[in-house]
Amino acid sequence: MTAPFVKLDGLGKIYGRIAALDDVSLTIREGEFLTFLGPSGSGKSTTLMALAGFIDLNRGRVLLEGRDITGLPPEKRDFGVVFQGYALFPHMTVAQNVAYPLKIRRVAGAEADTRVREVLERVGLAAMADRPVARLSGGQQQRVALARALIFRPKMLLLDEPLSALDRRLRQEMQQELARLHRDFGTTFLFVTHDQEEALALSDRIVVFNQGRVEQIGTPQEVYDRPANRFVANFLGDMNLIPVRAEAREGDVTICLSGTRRLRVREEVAPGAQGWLALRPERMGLSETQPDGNALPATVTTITYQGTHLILQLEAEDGLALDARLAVTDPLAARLAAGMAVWCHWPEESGHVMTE
Amino acid sequence: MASPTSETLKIWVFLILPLPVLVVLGYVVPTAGVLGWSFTLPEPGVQNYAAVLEAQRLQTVIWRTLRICLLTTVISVGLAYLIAYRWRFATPRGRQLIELVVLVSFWLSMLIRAFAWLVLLRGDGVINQTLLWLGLIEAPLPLVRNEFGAVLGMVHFMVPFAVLPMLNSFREVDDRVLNAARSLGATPGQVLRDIFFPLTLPGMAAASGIVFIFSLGSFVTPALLGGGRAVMLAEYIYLQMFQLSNWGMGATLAIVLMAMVVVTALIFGRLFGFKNIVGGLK
Ligand SMILES: Nc1ncnc2c1ncn2[C@@H]1O[C@H](COP(=O)(O)OP(=O)(O)OP(=O)(O)O)[C@@H](O)[C@H]1O
Ligand SMILES: [Mg+2]
Repeated sequence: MTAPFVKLDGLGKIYGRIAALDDVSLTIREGEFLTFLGPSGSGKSTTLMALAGFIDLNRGRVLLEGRDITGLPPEKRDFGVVFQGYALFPHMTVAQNVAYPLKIRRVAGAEADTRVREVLERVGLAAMADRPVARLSGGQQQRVALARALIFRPKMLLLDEPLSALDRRLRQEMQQELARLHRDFGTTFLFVTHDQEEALALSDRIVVFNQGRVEQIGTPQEVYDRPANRFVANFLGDMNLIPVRAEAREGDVTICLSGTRRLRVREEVAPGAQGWLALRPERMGLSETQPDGNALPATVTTITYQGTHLILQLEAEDGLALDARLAVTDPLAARLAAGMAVWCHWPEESGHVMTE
Repeated sequence: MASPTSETLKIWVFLILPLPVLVVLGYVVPTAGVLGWSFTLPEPGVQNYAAVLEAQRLQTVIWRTLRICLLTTVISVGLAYLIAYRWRFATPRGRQLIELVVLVSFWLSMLIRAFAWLVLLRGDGVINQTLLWLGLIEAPLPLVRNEFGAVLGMVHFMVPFAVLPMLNSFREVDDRVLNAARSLGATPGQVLRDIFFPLTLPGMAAASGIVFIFSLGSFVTPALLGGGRAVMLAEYIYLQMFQLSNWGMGATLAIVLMAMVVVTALIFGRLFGFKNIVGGLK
């Protein structure tokens, strides 16, 4: 078996009394777009900086293609890094910034010029080559930072919240740009964000961080639809959590009990296990009469109009709060009113039981 | 905000008025007086300025002054750069310690420092006696009462003046910018050469300008440690005026010294911008 591209093995980092990293282990696949997602202070940047070689770890190892690079200085790792705030060299022009890695590698003359021009074209800055970087907009600085980190064909590109300083529109534009650059260069991208939408839109896989630990690693669909625990479920958007106990198996379906209601999920859950049935609001339908399959009776408490859809808050049995998201085109939408009694229902493959 | 009443206006005028008055009384009038002397004493004419251009003795003093000041500037700014560099990459405690050491020597009286150096450097001083006792030398080294002693004392005096304006520009260099260079493949040495040094150059220029200008007017330190063999302009002016009562020549050299200060300030201002020089002081 060949060694994984990059492997982080039990990383630990302590600052004073705070464990910034508490046993972080994961592998990175060559060529993938991997995103570190998590709340502020969860250890994303620390992990990234440990990977780049800027942090002395208290514990753990970093392996690159099976080789231990834990103590290797950053300049020997050959990873491109785009820092929060871009960190351009303020005394240099755009072209000088981008050419710096070549200068260090003693690539000069016509070859350097060609490569600088090429990479500036790829990020759409060919016309700005001779500008001082201080007079660029945020989006342009971002592109310079990307060009500078990509020009030396690094083994991997590490990006620490590169989009967080940009306004919403520019941000969306740069997201597409990043996706395009990832395709074009074929380089492994390791991207840090605390914006879940960004993570879902861009990533091949997402690593969810919390308090210096990895909560879950998986594709966007996996972490969104099959969160490993309540933290992941809530961090990636609104989630209905219905307390359940697994009762029995019936083929590939598990029957769970919530109060007296029988709810079916198309998952294997060990009978007797206590947990939560997680269900995204947009997966839940509403009807006035009791449908077949999974259904809970509830009363509408508030309705919020959102243009394309309605956000509903409902109260089910035992005071259980539920959220639903109903398209305005739904025939029921026009008739809904606070206080109305309805049935919340969903197909058995939409629910996910978390026993953690 | 309400518009100022005539009452508050009066108070403002009253508060601001002393400033131009002080400037006129304290600077303009005396300078004009000195300028007057240089053209009128001992008799009206430009013979004093002609002498500055011709007399070997005077030119020796002027060149020596420039030489000592240049040497002092280069050495103090070099040392200050090392200190500021250590400070920039020190822990908060380390920074405090460095600041304290720099400030203590800042606060010590010039005279005390000069005498301390005398005690150390004299022929029968601590250093020479130790070296003799160790048998490393056969006769005392001429460490003081010469240009070497003068430069040493002036460097010691000027290093804090050079460190303080540098700290600001050192502090402003972003760690991430330095780390970015490392991640792009630069060794720590290359980061220093390509990134850190160019970014701290304005601070260094400010420090150089300040040290050179301050050095030009040095009097006590070169007088005590130069021992008459490293007479600089200020000391020479003093000799002309108060020992030889040659007021005209003293005044002329004072004007020359002032011109040197102004020219230096203009050159540094041109090259690096006045804002950098003045901003470096904050
Ligand atoms: N140099 C440092 N000194 C002390 N504590 C630090 C240092 N760097 C990080 N920490 C702490 O380590 C923890 C993890 O920080 P880290 O920067 O990795 O979080 P993050 O996930 O990147 O957060 P953010 O989204 O805010 O950037 C935080 O509690 C932080 O306060
Ligand atoms: Mg961070």
